[in-house]
Amino acid sequence: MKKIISFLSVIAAMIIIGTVSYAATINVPILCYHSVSTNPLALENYTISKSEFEDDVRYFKNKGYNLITPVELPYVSGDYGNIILSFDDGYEDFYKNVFPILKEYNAKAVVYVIGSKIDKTNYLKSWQIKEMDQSGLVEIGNHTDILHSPPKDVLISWYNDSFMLNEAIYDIGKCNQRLYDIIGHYPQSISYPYGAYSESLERLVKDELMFLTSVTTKHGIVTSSSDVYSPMNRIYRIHGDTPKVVEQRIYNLK
Amino acid sequence: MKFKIAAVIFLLGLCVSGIHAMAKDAFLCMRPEENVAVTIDENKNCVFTEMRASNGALVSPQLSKEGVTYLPLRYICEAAGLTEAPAGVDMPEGSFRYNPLPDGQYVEIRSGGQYYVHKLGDYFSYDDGSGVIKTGRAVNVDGTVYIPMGYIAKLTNGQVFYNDKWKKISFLSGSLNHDDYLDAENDLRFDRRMYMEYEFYSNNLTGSTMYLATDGLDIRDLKDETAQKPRSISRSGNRLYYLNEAGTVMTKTERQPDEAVMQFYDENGNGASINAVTVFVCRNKIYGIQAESGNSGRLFQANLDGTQFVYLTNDYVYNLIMRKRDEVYYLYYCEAATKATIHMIDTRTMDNYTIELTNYSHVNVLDKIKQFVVGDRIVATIDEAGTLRVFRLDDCLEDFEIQRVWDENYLTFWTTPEGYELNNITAMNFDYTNNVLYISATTEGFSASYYYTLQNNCLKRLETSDYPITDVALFKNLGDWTFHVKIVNGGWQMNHLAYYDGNVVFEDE
Repeated sequence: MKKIISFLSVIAAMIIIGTVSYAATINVPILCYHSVSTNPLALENYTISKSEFEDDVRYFKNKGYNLITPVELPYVSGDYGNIILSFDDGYEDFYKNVFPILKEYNAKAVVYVIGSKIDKTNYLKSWQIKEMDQSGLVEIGNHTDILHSPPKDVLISWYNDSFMLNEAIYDIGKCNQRLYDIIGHYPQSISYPYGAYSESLERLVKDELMFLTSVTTKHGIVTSSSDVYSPMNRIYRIHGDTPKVVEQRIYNLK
Repeated sequence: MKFKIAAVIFLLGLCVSGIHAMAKDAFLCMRPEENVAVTIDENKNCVFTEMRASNGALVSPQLSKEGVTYLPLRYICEAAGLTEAPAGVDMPEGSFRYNPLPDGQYVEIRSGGQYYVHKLGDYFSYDDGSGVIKTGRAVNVDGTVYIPMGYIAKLTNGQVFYNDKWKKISFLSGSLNHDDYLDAENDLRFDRRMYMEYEFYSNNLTGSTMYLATDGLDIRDLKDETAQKPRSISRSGNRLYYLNEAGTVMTKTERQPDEAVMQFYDENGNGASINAVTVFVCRNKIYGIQAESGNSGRLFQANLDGTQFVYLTNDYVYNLIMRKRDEVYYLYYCEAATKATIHMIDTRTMDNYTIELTNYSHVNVLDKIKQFVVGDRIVATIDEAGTLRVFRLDDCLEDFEIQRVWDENYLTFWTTPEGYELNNITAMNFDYTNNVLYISATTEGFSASYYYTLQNNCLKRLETSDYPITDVALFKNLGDWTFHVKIVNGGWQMNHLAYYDGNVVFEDE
């Protein structure tokens, strides 16, 4: 009897371990945009034109891609066909130039908002954030309250200091509260300014502030389902690239 | 034969006069992304003017990634003395035109006997006048056609100058002399810059009747020029704006007997009745606090001709001051409801920032503010109990409106340097050029002025006085001096201040 129980225990353990350690390959690229402008004088690496963005959406839609948002990532299965369009900094041109295209093509995207910049010139306004959140096409994400202001090396030193780490958490929480006051729920995804973070920060962000996903600026794609629970890599979408060039970058990373 | 010779001479004359077509006198000083330019009026005084496209929209210089400054086509061409030619006719000398044609959109310019045509979007090269070859194009930016400013200057014998420190760009039309307007660093000559309240160091915080004259040297008493005792004085060019004893906003030309009540009208042309606590002009607008509840009320703004009057706040505010940093003007005020929250307005965008100064437990360090001033990395307050507090910051508020204050940087001054109780501060003001806080106080039977600098990190005595010093105003003049003007025993006294490594002395002694 004892031998039977032991044998069954071993089998059960193997099943559990096998289930836990199984991570599906999902290969989801997250494209990283910043500004989308109609001003030809403003175009540079991280400021693309409205027509370039529309080309991207049209291309990926025609190719059968599923444009999703980070909150849907945990439910993704299969290793082809899903893509996330992410926008950092919460510029107002997201509402003026990106949102209309999303509506036209029934596409989704995530925009990471800097809390202290809400309602400021050239940044998203409260009513715009609310409207986009209610549309179901845009996931509103957190890009911290003021942590985008200090230089990257200062941020990294803070993230490795227990005292300043508390300040960082307080700051991110403040952005959360600003967004909650606008959209009535807390953001589920965070984009780390400059892609900088520490393991301690990531742990606190997920455990204390209950974020589901986080993204960095390191070049890469979300290869497996387990990657979803770590800071996820992205692919910069540069002005002058064509959608085909972007897609080739994705293939090279798979 | 004689007729033919005369005709040739006549035509040659036309060509010669065309080659040296006289541009109108136009001086513009501006910064990228800002929609206000400084020009010089007929009295050689500076005025701010809004930059508007032909359709009335506000525009600003655009700096391309190649480092080329673009301006709206009509704006820069007219400044350069070109006139707009109608479509469908031969272009006369000294004209420009934007011409949509079946095969594209074109910009055409005729100047210096030459004809230039550029298709929108197509790059072209040009000498910017200093021998440097630049590349630019005519572009449509949200419905307004922009063109490189340096290119138009080159075609019309104008000049473009760049001040790298302050990112200022100056344009002078062909008829103007550079030295009349710009200094050695290509910045506006200081004697042309008599438009700033900045030189008056928040005159609106004092009852001072003094003002800095347009020559940049003299301090004059406006009381000698007005019917009633004036206060809250500021200037735009040679126009002075101030309050009379009843709080009515008045205006006059310096040294002219043309004092008049300023009328205000909103965007619909409806009159606005204004009785102000304080006013000043800054960057082509007038700002003030409407007197609605003691020294507080709604913050308002209007054009200098009184039009476009609007309230900027619904809530009551007080202690309105203006501070210039890195050539940008910022307004500060305190919320009347809380007396513990300071706001900052960036006058370039009119964005309103809520200042957050807390300790590391995230508790607000500001409380019961009676008066405050803001400097570089310094905020000083006098609370309702008369206590002076100075907060040393890691950064300027204009860079980080949310800051934590370490305990050692939160200074409360309970006593004077002599050891007397400091609880009767009679005046406070701030020198923005040298980053010095001034207070005057009456204590234990004598009066004194003190100052605080970041370098010394303590109060130091400037002078003592037999009578209470009840008001302090500060002025900086062309000679790089700061005038310290105080009211003592009912009369004004003035001294020159000098600064040495964070210390202040009276130069007159």
